[in-house]
Amino acid sequence: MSTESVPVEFDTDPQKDADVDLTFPTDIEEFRAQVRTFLDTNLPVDWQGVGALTDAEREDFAEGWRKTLLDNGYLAVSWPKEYGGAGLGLLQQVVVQEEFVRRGAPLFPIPSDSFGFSLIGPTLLTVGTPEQKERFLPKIVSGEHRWCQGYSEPEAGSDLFGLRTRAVRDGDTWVINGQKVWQTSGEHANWIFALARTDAELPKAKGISMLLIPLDQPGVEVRPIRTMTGKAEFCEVFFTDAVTHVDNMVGELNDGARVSMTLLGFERGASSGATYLLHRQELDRLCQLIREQGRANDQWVKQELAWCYSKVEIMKFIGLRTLTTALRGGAPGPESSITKIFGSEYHKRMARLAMNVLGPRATWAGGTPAVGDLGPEPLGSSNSAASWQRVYMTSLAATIYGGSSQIQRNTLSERVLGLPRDPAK
Amino acid sequence: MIDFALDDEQEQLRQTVRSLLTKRSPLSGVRRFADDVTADVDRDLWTEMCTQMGLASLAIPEQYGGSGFGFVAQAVVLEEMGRVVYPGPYFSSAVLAAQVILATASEDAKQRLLPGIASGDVVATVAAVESEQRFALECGGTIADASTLSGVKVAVPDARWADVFVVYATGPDGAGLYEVAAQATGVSISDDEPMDPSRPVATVTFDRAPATVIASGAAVADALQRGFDIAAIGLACEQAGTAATALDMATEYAKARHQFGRPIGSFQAIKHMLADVYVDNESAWSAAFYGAWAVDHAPGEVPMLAPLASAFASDAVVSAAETNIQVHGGIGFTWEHDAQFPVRRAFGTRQLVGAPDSHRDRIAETLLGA
Repeated sequence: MSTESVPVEFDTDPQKDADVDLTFPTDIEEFRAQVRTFLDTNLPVDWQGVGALTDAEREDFAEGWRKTLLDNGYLAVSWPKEYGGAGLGLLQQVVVQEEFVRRGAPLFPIPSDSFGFSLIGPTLLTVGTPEQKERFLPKIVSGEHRWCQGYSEPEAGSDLFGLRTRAVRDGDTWVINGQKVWQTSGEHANWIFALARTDAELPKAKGISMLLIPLDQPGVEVRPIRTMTGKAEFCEVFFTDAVTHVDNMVGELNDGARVSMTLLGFERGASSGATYLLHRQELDRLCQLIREQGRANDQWVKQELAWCYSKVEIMKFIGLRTLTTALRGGAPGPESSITKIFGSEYHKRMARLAMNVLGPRATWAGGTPAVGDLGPEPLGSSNSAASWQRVYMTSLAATIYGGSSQIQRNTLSERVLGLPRDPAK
Repeated sequence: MIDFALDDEQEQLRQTVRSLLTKRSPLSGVRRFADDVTADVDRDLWTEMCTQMGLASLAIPEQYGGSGFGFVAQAVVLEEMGRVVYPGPYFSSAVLAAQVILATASEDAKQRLLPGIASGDVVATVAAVESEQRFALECGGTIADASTLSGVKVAVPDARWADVFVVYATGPDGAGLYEVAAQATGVSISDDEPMDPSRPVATVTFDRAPATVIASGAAVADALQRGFDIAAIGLACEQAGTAATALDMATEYAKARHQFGRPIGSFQAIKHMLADVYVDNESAWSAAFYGAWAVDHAPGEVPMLAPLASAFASDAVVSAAETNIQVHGGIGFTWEHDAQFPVRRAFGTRQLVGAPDSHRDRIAETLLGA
C-alpha cells in the first residue's frame, strides 16, 4: 500500500515534553505572593470587596486607595518607570489583575482611570511623540488628567468613520466644532481623546485625526445622559470653537482611523484572566440567588445555569489562548476578536436568567442598589433585586457600545472568515 | 510557563494526520458508507494509521503496549478525524473502549486487551446503554453468570466493525464489565440503517454469549463514568473538527455562490450566521482542548469539564452543520451533496457518551449542591 506516510516520530521524552503548560513560573508565583501581602496589609479590616461599600463609602475609599496604589507602584503596572509606571512584564500584569479581582479591590479607583491606563496611555506609548509621553503619561498616573473617549457621534455610531466633528487648523491650534456622545464617566473627565475630521476632501476614514483636547475651556460643554437605569453613566460633549494645541495630535495627520484601531489591541492578553474571575464571582452570586429563591431543582434554571457556567469557563480557556499568543509574541489571533461579542452576549443571557430567578421580586427595585459599573458587579455586591435589575439593564448596553454585536459579526466574517465586504459600503 | 497551544511535535502530528486523511479519507469518502450500509472500513488505511503511525496507541500507557504520549496528542488526531468525518472505529476502540478499560478493568484484563487496541489489531467498542428513551449507563437488563452473558444493548457504536465488546452487565456480585468476542455464539448485531453511516450504531443482542469478567465491585459504576468522561472530551475534540469543516464548507460556498449579482457571503444575513458559528466553534474547540489538557494534567477537573465540553461541542456541531445546509440552499439538501455528512455525524455523536441536557443537569447539580 501507500508508503507516503511515515511513522510519527516523537524525539523527546514525553515526561520532559514542552506540551501544553498552564503553570506560572516560580518568580511570578513569588510576585503573586507579594501582591497578596500588599492587599492583605493595605485593604481595610473586614474587607468584603468594593461591592459591599455604599456609594458614599466607595467614593471615600477611592481617593485614599488610589494614593496607596500610587505609592506602592500598582498604578500603570505595565508602563515604563520613566513615565511613572512599574515596568512589569505581561505575566506580572496578569497576576496583579487577578489578585485584585480575587479580593474585590479596584485597580482603577476613579472612573476615568480605565480610559487613561488602558486606552490613551498605551496608545501614547505606542504612537505618541517623546514630548507627548513626557507631558501626559505622568499626569494620568498622578490623576491630574482624567480621560474620556470621544469617538461616537449622534450620526456616527456603528458607522464610526462617518463622523462629522471637524478640526480646522489656525496657526498653532486646531479649532474643533461638533458633538461627541457616549462618554463613559465624562462628568469626571478633564481631557478627551477624540477623533475629528481634519480633511473633508479625503474619503471617509482617510481624513480623520486623533486629538487630545482639554475639556476645561469655554468652547466645551459636557452634559450627562441619563440612561434607562436612571443613572447617568454617560455624557455627551459639545465643541463650539474649542481649541487644542497642534502638538496634541496623536499619530500622523489624517491617520486617526488607524491610530484608533491600534488602541483596540491593547490589554487583551493581560486582562482575560481577571475578566474570567470577575464573571465567575458573579456566577457564584447567581448560584446563591438560585438557592435562596428555591429554584435549584428547576429544570429550566439548571439548563440555563449550566450554559452560563460553560460560557464563563470558556472565557478562561479562550483567555489562555489569547495570553499564549501574547507571550509567544504574536499579533492577537482570531480568538481575541471573539472576546467582545462572547462576553457581552453571555452577560445579557446570564442577567436575564437572574431576572427570571428573582420571580416576583424582579418587579420592584428592592434591596441594596448595585455598584453600577458596566459589566459584572464586583465582589461583595448585593444579591438584591435592585442590583440584578441594574446588571440586567446595563447588559443591554454592552452589546451596543464598543462596537455592536452586529458590527462584531461583520468584522469576524470579513477579517477572520474572509467573506467579501458589502459592495454598498 | 503558560503555553496553551500545541507544541511542535503535536503540530507536526496534526499536519501528518491531516495530509493523510485529506488524501485517503476525504469527506466525500463517507458516501461509500451512505450508499452501502454493509461497506467495510478501509483496512489498509486503518493498518497504516495504527501499525505504522501508532495513532491508536497515543493515550495508552507504555506498560499496556501504548506509547503514552498523552491525551492532548490523541485530541489532535480526533479533531482531524472529525474534520473529514472519518468512517472507522478509531473513537470507539482507541478512545472509548481504551479509556473504559483503563478506568475500570483489572490489571490482567488491561494487559490482555489494551496492547491489541493500541496496535489496531483488535477493534473494541463499548456496550453500556439499554434505554432507547434516554441516554444512561445501565446494566440492569443484561445479566451475567460465571461464563456467559445475556441482554440487549442499544446504540453500540461501530458494532459492525468490532472484534470485542466491552459490555456493562449485572453479574453475581453486582455491576461489572465483561469482555465478549463479536464472533462468539449468541451475539447478534442489528442491521438498522444508521443516522451516521460513517459511525454505524447497532442494537447488540447477547444470548448466553461466552463472557469474561474484566471489572467488578462497588466502584465499577463510578469508574465507568470516568472512562466515559474522558471519551466525552475526546469526542468533543472530534465534534469541534466536524464543526470546523461545516463552517469551512459554508464559508467557501458563500464566497463562490452569487445571487442578486453578488456573492451571498457579502450579505449580512449570511455573514452573521457564519460569525455566530465561528464563535461557537472556537468556544467548543477551546473547551475540548482544555479538557484534553486536564485529562493529562488535572484529572480532578475532568468531571466538570467532560459535561461542559461535550454539551457545548454537541450543540456547536449541530449549529455548524445546520447552518452549512442553510447557506448552501437547496443543493445542500440533495443526496449528492456532502453537506449531509456533518449533520449526520452531529446527531450520530450527540447521544454517544451522554446527552447534552443530562450533561448540563450534572453541571448545575454540582454548582448548586443539589
